[in-house]
Amino acid sequence: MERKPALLTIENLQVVFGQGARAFRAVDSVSLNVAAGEVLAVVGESGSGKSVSMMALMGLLPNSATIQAEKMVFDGKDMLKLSAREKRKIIGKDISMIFQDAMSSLNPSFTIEMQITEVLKTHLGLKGAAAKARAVELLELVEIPDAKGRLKSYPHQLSGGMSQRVMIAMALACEPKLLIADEPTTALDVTVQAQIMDLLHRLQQEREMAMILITHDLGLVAQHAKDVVVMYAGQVVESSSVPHIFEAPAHPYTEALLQSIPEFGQGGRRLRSLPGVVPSQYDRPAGCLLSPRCPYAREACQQPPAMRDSRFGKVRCIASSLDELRAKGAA
Amino acid sequence: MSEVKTVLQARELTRFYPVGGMGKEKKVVKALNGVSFELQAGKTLAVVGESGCGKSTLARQLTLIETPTTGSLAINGTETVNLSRSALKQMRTEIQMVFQNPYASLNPRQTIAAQLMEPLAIHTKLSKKERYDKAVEMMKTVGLRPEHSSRYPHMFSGGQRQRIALARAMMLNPKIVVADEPTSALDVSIQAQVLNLFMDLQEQYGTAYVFISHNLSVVEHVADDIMVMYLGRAVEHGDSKTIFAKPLHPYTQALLSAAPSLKEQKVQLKLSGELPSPLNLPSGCALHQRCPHAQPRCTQEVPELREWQGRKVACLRLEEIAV
Repeated sequence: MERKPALLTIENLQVVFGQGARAFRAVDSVSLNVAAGEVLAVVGESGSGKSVSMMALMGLLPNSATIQAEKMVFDGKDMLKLSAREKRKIIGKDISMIFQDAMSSLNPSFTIEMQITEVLKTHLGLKGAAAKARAVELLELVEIPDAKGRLKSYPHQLSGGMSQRVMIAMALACEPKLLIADEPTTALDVTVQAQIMDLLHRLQQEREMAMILITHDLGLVAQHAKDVVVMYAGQVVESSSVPHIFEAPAHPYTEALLQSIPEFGQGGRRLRSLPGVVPSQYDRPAGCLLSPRCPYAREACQQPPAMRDSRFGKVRCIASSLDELRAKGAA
Repeated sequence: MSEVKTVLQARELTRFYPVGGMGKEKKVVKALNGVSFELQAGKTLAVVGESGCGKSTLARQLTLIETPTTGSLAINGTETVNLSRSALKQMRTEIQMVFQNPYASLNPRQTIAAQLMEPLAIHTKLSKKERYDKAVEMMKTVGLRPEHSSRYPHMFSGGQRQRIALARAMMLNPKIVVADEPTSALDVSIQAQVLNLFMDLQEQYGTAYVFISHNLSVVEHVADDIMVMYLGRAVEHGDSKTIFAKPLHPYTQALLSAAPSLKEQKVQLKLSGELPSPLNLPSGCALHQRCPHAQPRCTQEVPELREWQGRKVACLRLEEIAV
């Protein structure tokens, strides 16, 4: 299978909030690759660091955050070396982002028109009638009925689904090469969620735009993504592709995530679940972060495991597959 | 559990909320518009629908927090409409509730033990020591340690808080627990733990659940019966397996095909548009503006729930669609 060149490469990203003994390591060694025109899903529970990693890329984190990485290259440019001014030319233009809660991402005191034309003015220098015409075009693109009339609306006059459509229109205003969608449909009802995902999928295909889909819904991953990265407590624990990750998960956490979905329960009344909760910042176990909850945990797990190759990707575990892990336990 | 006992029976429940006035036009929101169902001891009825369909309004009527506008509601065989205040208070011990957000439903200024003991203080004559012992026993049942009893809610994670909320609901050993989206604020792996707890308690105490959810894979897992609601009415109601195997109402089909699934999807039906305002209900079938099967007569006649292939469905064109 031939792979397109990587559009975004991140290697060993670390994000630390604060300093000294109370420093909070939100993201710890995250590596990922997004190929041009493809969809990468980032999956994890709350607090796993999936949003913070993307915010670090976008430069949206507060000053208290220290961002370090071995490599962060977007479209041939080293994002770590760029000045803030140069970075701003890329962010919002070539990389744009849509957020979970569209209702609160839009500015409540400005009309839709002002918010869309602001993007067009800043990045493309469009003004007046040209900007307005383009704004109408964008609203039509995201299938908002009566686009012209809607320009004068304020965000409170729009429903959740409509607000998310406006957010998508703004994100697409400069024809980005990479769109980061952070839980784009979590706040929406299922039938509206399906409409928005169809829209994103269609636009992504038509424009051959790369997309990072941050989600906790494995159903969305199955339907929309090509590659997938699973995060746990700030680390990438497995990277793989669809549908392999569903057929042959290599990390015990991925397996547990899949088994905790009722749909996967295979008729059993009890769902299999991991005991305990995600370790908080100040009680991280030594060695593998999953080890206190992992059914396969053993001596070797006291040392932090490195990323190793698995059958369909990479895995952070002492074995390269679950079968190997089970065999080790038996020996 | 030998004989089948009906613990909850609702007939044509409606709840209207007046809005407006004071210079504005007066209107009525028909949040619940004629809903009937029965629930047997130890069974689970799932109520499914999107926001604004009346699920939570239904929960408020069932738990006797509000009085329905019309209709009747019998709990454990006793009709609750027109009961005296003291009789209602007694009745509330039989039906308890677990809320969606465990971060908001527990009192932040009371210890866990105090919150669990409160229902006993109100409804029983047990001594303080006996109440405490019962609270600790219930904490063990839901998988919390006795030393947690003197802690406050902020010291617990979301999953643990939902365990506490469930323990509080179970303190009086109710016949029915109404759970309004009990796992939607939780992560998937924690959701599985809480769902398991719900099922364990049902096995142990024979409690009946009214399980309100929009997550269809959760519903498929826990429910015996399901009722799909749209804008205050039931559109499809029946045995869970039957409906999941072959949904008949266009709205049920749309819900099932909209839920992201790991498997290849059987039904494909997409709704256009969004939920109309409950202030201005469409004439005829409430779904007709969004339904691909809609015909002129759907805009005129209100479809009634009809028996059809082992369940009840409210659709005028059922004969033509359900082939």
